[in-house]
Amino acid sequence: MNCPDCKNIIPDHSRTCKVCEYDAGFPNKRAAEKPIEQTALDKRYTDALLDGEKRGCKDNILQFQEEIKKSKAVLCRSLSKIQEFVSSDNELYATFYQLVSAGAKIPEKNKYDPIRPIVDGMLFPYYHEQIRFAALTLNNSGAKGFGNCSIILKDDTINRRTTVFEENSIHFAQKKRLVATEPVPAGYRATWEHRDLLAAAKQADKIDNNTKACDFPGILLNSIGSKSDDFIEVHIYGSISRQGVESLIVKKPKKKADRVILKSIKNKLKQIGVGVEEIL
Amino acid sequence: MKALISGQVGTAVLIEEEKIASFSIDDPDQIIERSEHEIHCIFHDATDFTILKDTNMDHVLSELDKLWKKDRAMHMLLILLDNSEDNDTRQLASECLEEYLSDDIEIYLTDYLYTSPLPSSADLTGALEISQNSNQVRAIGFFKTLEINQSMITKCNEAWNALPIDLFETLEYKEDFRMKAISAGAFRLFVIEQGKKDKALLDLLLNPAFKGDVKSRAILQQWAAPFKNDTLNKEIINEDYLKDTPLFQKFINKIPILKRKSAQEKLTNVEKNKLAIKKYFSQGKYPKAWKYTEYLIEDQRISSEPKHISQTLCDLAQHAKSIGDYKLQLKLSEWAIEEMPNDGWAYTQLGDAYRLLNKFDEALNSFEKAASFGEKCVAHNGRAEVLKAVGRFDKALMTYEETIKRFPNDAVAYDGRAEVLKAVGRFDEALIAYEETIKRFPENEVANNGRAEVLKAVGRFDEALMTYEETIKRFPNDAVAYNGRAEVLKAVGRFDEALMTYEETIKRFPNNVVAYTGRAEILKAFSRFDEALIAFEETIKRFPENEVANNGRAEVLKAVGR
Repeated sequence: MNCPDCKNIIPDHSRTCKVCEYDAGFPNKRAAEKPIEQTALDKRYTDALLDGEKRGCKDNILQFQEEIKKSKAVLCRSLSKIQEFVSSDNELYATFYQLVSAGAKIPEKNKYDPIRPIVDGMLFPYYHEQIRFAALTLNNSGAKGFGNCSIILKDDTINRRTTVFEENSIHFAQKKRLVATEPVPAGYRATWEHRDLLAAAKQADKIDNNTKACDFPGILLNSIGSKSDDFIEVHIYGSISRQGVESLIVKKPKKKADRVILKSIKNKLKQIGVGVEEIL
Repeated sequence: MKALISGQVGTAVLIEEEKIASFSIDDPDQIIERSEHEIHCIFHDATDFTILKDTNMDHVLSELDKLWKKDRAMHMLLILLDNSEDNDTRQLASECLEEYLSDDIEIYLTDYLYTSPLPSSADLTGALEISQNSNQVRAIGFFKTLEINQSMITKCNEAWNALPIDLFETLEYKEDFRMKAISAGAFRLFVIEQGKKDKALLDLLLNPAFKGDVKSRAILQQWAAPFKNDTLNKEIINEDYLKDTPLFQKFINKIPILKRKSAQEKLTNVEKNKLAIKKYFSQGKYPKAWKYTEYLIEDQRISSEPKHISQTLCDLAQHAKSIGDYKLQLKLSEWAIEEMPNDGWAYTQLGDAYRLLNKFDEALNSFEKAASFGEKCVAHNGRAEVLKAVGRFDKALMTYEETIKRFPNDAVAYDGRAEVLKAVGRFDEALIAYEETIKRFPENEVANNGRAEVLKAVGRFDEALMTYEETIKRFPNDAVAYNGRAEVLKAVGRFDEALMTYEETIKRFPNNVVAYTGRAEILKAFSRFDEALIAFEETIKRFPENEVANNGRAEVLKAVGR
């Protein structure tokens, strides 16, 4: 895009104009707002509704879409990482556990997952390090395979910088046989405020006359903690702070140390008014 | 099977050919099928991610359990130290911590906890109190040690922070190095090894993370420098204790403080004193020689670098070897290392002493250290010598040959190779090897003597004698050739001449123990037991630690029925 102020080109990955520092907005959101993306998504959505009409379940689809407007972003982590996250302003954690966290992480370019950096590069060229991944949920349940704790994020701390994507981006790239030299097909991403359109376009064919409202959460996010999990991927630009947490859902810990950690997490979140729910 | 594990996440991913699955530490029996791209999602924020190769399920479980306990122990510790946590949570954390505190976990925790002093918000007293109330012995010990070590932790941390960025080139590299240092236990070692001279520094220099890396060496040395003085050489000499002794005063009068003198004067003085000390050692005046050595080193400390002190001690160690006192050689070499823990040359001396004392494992270890501190050629030769001494001739030969390839101008390796060939009875090859060495290094008396020895071994006595005599002419200060000549004379039954040669050698080289024992052996062989006994006793008086003399004396006493 061109800078509205100084008219110089602002690269797709840049948040600001390099010449006049004009704030161009979050790159992932700008990518989803491109007319080509919006037009393609509108078409998918319209087609899905037409199909629903033919099948006599358009109202159910629209009801599903309405529910999606209330959906949340959820990310799953281990208890250990949640404790680190909620203790980020604790001096002891900042002094010592931060060093543990500064250790080596699994490299993005690892031999088990050669496609990941390619897909990240295609979806978020030159800014993939800024992106945090989550899933869209209607019942606060997350993708179970990635940790026993689900953090539900407050809308108002992410809505301006978040976009949604059709599904797990790696699955998508594999299914569509994407190649790095070609653009990602349009119509599979949306801004946060248009997540309902994307969800309806994607899941309409899973809705019929018999679909009830209670089925919607499972249609939106189908996770048993395995490779067949299906969900709408959420892309959040920038960091997430503990003040951005709306609630926490934790699978009841089996080990004593994890129960102690959970107790500590509850205490810390209680201080900022965040509730913790334990599930079996 | 391969496995990827993380204690933080509490998950293991198993990879066997095309199949990928995972399980959680909470439920190891529930195996979940996975796809390859999920691996990154599972571990993406884990920083204790570990790969296990050629593993099995039991091993994966046990390693995952270890990593999990490490991570949870760290959380328990931080919760216990945090007075913003409620008492109940802290109490539970202390119970878990006590359960997990094994030696390994303690090391892991201290690797991090010793990087910085505890922040003011940390409630160490409270943590200790909670542990004491529940009688958690291990945790109590841990916290008490942590408390005691706070000042050294602060010192070590300040020394780290004071290291200039220039030393690392970039701030990023300084941070990377810090992480490497934590993993290698550097902060912990500097704190817990306080009072043990440079042990921590030495351990770190030998750590695979830093070994052989010149830059790391410089960083570690500079880092350790501010607290080095606190720990170095304190017990070697107690100045206050010695200051008032008459001997010290006398010595001080003899050797005025070196720092008042010019560099050349200082050097001359050191050399003069070394000569005097060597003389005392040669005369068997050990207490005097030792005391003077201490004074000399103490004096050198005022104005010399550790490397110069180490050089002095190595020189004295060489002298000890030349008079056959390998224990003294060992002691002086050890001292040299204490003075300069990264002195490769001192390690070669130490290795040599160990070898001569038949402590072969220690010798090999010392040569390895010598190599890591840059004395690669000497260390290789020393290693080969040890291998030869323990009868691993093939390996010794191979080592010498490798050394010749790597250091083609090193005569010692050539001599060593020929020595091994001689030792295994491959005399023709040994002779060729010696001749090749002589051709390459004509001034190498060792090769000439070696050649003569081979000639003697194959019964070519005339040629052997001639070779020794030529060597004596060319190298009149080489005691080996004199002794060799005497040995040949003895072998051909020319005992009188052999005896005369030994006596001449003793006159020329009064510190050469081989000549003394050789002379005594001849007298014994002649059944001149009284004279042999006197000769052995004289040898023992001069060289009290010499085994040959002590054994010879015992044999003579046995022969005369005593």
